[in-house]
Amino acid sequence: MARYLATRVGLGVLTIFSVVLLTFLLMFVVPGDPARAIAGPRATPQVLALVRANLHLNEPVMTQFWRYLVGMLHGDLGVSYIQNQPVATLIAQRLPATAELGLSGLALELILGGALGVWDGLRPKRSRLLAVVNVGLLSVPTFSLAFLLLLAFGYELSWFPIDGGTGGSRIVLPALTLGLFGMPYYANVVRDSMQETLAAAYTRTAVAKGLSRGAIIRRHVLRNALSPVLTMAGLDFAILLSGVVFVETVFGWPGIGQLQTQAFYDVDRPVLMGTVVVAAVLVVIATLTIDLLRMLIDPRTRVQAR
Amino acid sequence: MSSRPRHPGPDSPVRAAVPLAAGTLLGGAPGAPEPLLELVDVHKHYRSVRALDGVSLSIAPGETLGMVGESGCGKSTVARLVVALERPTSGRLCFRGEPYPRSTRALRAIRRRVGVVFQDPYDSLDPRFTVGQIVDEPLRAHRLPRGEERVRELLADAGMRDAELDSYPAQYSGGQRQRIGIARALALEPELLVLDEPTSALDVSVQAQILNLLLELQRRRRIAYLFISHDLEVVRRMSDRVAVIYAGRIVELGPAASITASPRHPYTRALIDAIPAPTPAHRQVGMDRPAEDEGAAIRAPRAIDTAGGARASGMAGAGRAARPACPYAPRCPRRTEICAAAEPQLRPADGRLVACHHPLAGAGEGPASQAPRPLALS
Amino acid sequence: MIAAGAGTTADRRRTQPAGLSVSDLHVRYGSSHAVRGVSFSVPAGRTLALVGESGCGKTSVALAVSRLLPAGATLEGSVRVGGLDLACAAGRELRDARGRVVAYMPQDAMAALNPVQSAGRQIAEVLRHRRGLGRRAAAAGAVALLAQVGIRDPHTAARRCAHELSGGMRQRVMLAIALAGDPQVLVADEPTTALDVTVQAGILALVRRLVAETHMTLVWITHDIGVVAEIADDVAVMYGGLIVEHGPVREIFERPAHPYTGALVRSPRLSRRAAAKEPFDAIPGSPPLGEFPPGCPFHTRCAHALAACAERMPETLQIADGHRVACHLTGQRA
Repeated sequence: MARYLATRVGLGVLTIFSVVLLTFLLMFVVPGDPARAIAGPRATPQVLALVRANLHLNEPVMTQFWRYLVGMLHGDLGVSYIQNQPVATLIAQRLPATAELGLSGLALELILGGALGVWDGLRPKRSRLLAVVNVGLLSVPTFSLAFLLLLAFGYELSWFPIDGGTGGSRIVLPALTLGLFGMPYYANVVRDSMQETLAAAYTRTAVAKGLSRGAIIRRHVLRNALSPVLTMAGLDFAILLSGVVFVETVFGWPGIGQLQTQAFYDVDRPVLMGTVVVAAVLVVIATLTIDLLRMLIDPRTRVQAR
Repeated sequence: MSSRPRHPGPDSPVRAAVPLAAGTLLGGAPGAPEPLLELVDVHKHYRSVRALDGVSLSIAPGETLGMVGESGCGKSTVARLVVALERPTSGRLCFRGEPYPRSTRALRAIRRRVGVVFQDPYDSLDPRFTVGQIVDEPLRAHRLPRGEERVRELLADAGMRDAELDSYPAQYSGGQRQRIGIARALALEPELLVLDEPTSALDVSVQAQILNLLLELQRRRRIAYLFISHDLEVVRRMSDRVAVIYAGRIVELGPAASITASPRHPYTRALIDAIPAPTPAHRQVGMDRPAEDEGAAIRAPRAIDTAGGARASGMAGAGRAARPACPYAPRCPRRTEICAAAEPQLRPADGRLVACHHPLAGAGEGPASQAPRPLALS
Repeated sequence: MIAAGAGTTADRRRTQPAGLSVSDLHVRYGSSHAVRGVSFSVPAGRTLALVGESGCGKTSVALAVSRLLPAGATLEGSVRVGGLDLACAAGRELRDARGRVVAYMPQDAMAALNPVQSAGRQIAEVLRHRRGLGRRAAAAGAVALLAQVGIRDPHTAARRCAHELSGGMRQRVMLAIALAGDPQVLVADEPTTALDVTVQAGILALVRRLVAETHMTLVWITHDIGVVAEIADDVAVMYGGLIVEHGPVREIFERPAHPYTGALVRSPRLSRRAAAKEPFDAIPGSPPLGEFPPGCPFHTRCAHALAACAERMPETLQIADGHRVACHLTGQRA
């Protein structure tokens, strides 16, 4: 068991390293000159050269990467080109807002999707409601959905504030966007899982005992049908994070996603790198946590871990 | 697999330092021709499971060696090793005196002479291939003469004369699919056919047909069979000699008739006792045998699973100390201290080989002192 | 029905033994007609073996009698236990009858057990539901039942999940679940088919003992004629969705009237007279699956087929006390 965990953690570290390397290399493909961005449009060539030297921009790529890696391990993610603050500080400031949004969104998509999936799973044929949800929500990209909701409920109906920032009812539309976006994914899988569980031999055993329908569903069907949801949430986590980026940008929610989008336009490489690193770490931690939770819930997976 | 051929010498760890007389029991009548297939002290270990623990046997040309045992005993592992799907952990296999080669390329020669028929007719034929393609494939792979005529001939030999070459396995019943599998196995004209539970997945009324086909094919082509099954009665009727295998070891080996008429090993006795009655008159009324000792160990005690010891130390070898010397001892009513201490070797006794410290004496004796079920052939 | 020696803390009810009477049973799955008019009775306390090969409809009969057919299957006919016709029962009455009037024991115990619950809990569930026992009493009752079905360490077994138990133990757990409801009729659907022969022997002996003690009515489905010889009082032979012969077990073995029964009784296992490598008694062809030929379903494989066999379904005739057969040849024989 310990060996299994050690392997998983090792793989996680390897993943983070690969992501960092790949992103770092990609940075050099992105057009834009950070020296000019920092020094301003009227800087002289000498100033530009000085800025470049300061930022070690003239060194070979791999040296710059190594420098970054070492810094990262010390918690130093560099300094923003634009805002002149340590990247780590910038990210830390915005982490709570992103966490609030991400968790709300996750909760909504699990509850909405799970409920619809269970309700629909008890029916032999897919309900019209699920069909509408599939067509309507499954194919709509996050940002389109975000804009639609913003326009309809924020602008036209004025039910919710549209001025950006956090607090009060400002969480509703962004979280709802994420929730609606992920809902059909969970609804479909839960429905299929319910159907499969209802047809299982052990459900028949429960019926043969003469239990009431409610007892059968509560005690035998639900737990087995919902166990894939946990695994799916783990796989879905990365998608959720990318959805957060869009939603924060559209609604002006001051989280890491908004920071990242701005940094992209500014070609603020340290900030970009920093957000990517943090995202990678979050995904790895989430996946590992999900795996541990699954082993807790389903005794069969403990055997495989040996 | 050993890197150099090991010849059994006086200091050799090979367990088959069995007296010459017994050696003939391993391999058939004295003065018999060179054995077709030989297994010498074969071990096969998977991570913590010792699937085979020193198996030695041989098959003479044209004879049928039956191998019987229950689930997990290792008989399917033997099949896979003989067909060279896997390599032994130690010990060696020889075909006509030549050890199985190491390289995959050279193993093709073995594959030509050793055919195989598997248990599940629904699984062993590729559903995407037509019947014609299935039977033709081995001919193509080994560059033998092909063509519709040859394929039809093989199918006819297997009793599928009227099969359409363009048809698919899904259109046929289990028994018919098994015949297709047999036709395929015969395409290369093997000298030895390994049959791993060939009729177990078939309906009762169909089993007899397939068994008759196998008997006839053997008569006509003089093929040797390694007939593996859990069904002792079928094995008895199909085989010249029978090997009873338990926990990866052969516990009894000898002529089919004598082993089943008067078994010497308690496990063989147990297998025979467990066979359901032939008629209601033979039913042992009121005899409630105690629940099998499998209830004693909660974790399924496939006695070959030394996971308890091996896993703790992470080494397969460490399991050696943990397991009892005789693998059947935990279930055996005749066990004593020596059974847990010393491993019984295969020794000659009354015309067969038995590995037991307390072999049964005669036909009348049963381990549970119950009136034995009459198994006489009359 | 729980035997006197159980020592369970649960109150021991003795339900009145009751027989099973099935009349003109039909089961259809869409257009497929799997059971085509099956009738049989099992007197209270007796054991009937229902024997046949794949596609004969025996599993459908078992599920129909237990009212566990899958959605989409239709059932016609009557299934009477005591005064109750299970085929008509619905809603609360049906739920109430389940496990109490008739219990079902499936072939695949691994699939039939909830993978995330312990064995003890699944047995206790029945005790709590049927007898109103509290949690602790039900848990103790579950352990007692496990002991009664021959498990040597019932306390540990009760804590285990299905995948941690061996095949034989799982099947004993299924038996315990069935017994916990104190059923009048137990339908056992090939419970030992997938088990090793030594394990099967243990379970057959166990079931024989329990039936003798509790006088439970038992319907045992199998394809293995040897198991029939071990366990049955009466035998019903099924082929092509119909019962082709039905009679006391000795009659069936000593004087089989239907050619198919004769072939079953002479199967490889039982011909101990035969020497090694002697050809087996075989009938050509294979059992029909799904599609049945007109007339007698066996006529395409029958060595004695008459012209009538391909045209009309044979009538069921009584040839001896309690011995019935459906075969056109019956009238022909001397």
